Amino acid sequence: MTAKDTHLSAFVVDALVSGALTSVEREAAERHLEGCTRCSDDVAAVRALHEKFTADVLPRTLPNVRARVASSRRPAMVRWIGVGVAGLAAAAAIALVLHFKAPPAKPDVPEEPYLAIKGSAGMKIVAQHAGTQLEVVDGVKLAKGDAIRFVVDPNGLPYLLVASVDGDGQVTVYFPAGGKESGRVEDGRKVELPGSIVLDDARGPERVFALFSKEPLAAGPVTTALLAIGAGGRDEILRARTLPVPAEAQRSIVFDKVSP
Amino acid sequence: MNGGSIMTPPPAPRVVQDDRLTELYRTYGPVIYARCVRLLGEPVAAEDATQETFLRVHRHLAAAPSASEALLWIYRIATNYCLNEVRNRKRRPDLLRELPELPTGDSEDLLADRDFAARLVAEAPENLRVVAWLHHVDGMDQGAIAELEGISRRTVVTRIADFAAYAARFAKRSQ
Repeated sequence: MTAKDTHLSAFVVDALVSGALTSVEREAAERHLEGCTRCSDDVAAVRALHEKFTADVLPRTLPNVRARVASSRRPAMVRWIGVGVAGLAAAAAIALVLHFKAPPAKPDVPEEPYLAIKGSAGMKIVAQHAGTQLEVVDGVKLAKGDAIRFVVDPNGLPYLLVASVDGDGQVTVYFPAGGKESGRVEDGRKVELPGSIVLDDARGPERVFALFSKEPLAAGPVTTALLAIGAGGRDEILRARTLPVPAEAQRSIVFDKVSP
Repeated sequence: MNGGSIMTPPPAPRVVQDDRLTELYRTYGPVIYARCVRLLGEPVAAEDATQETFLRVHRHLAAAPSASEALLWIYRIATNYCLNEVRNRKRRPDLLRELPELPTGDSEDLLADRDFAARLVAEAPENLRVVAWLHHVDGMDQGAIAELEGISRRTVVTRIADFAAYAARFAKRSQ
């Protein structure tokens, strides 16, 4: 059975349990509940989840949330995560919030602007392109023959694995080069990884992930995850910002390889 | 009854020394968590999603003019985040095989099955996913969806129709 027309919507159930309905709406909902087992069950289930959150989830997760919020407040992070996209998204969100007055237009909160801000480690990619040096931010166009190098801020996380997937679905482990697991990196604000990468003639997007961890990560699951992204084609490469691997911090940058 | 306007949520219990962050988490955490459990179906994933949602909420909530707007806003963020997670799970090749047996009848009958609609939404084109979920799984009407998502009712109608056409094509292919 569908919930349309005959049952309380999920939003009304949530708003009811949260005490967020108007008195008129609450009374209407309560009248409906008197004769509807399904919606009564839904309300009971949501109420139980509220109780579980307050009693169990909140005490366990609040310290982590506080730590991550504190981490994301560090001004240095904006520079390090770089990634002008994040800054633009935040600016756009703030601009939209300013238009939040009645009639309220909801701020267009971007889907994943902060996914990259986990922990506080960072990665920057610097490219030698057309005779000039530039910082690679999401969407930058690079060409065959351009050289890129990686600069990272491990922020106390000793192991790093840098790998990418490109538009051909090709997976490459850049650091340690062709390695089977993460390599150890020295701590510091700007650690330049050895060597540079000269881009081949594969065209399309290439997304690079930097995976920072306390313990070495095996490259196998990382490669598997990257292949899955590659199988999804260009759109998936552009969308995917994190990998399902146990890294304490992840950074990701995507650039576009085009004809010179 | 569908959708509905909202009032300020009641104040959550708190202690004096609670800071703004803790207050927000106590106030909106339960509703976000419940929402995430329903969307993701897994308590552990819902815990993670709640935290991810809350980080986004906290970034902007201070600028929101009222708590009533905030609840809609948070709900929207949680919905979008969780449906992205559902989309990411779509990468698993076994998802379609997990679909239950097709309900009999036309595409309307197909979408009347909440569980089936939920799984079909995960396979749907991205631009249709949120609206389709809100309508067919959450049971929200067009007006409530338009308010929640901050889009026009016409857009909602169009996306619902497009999703119905998608479901019809899916049913035809599966016969």
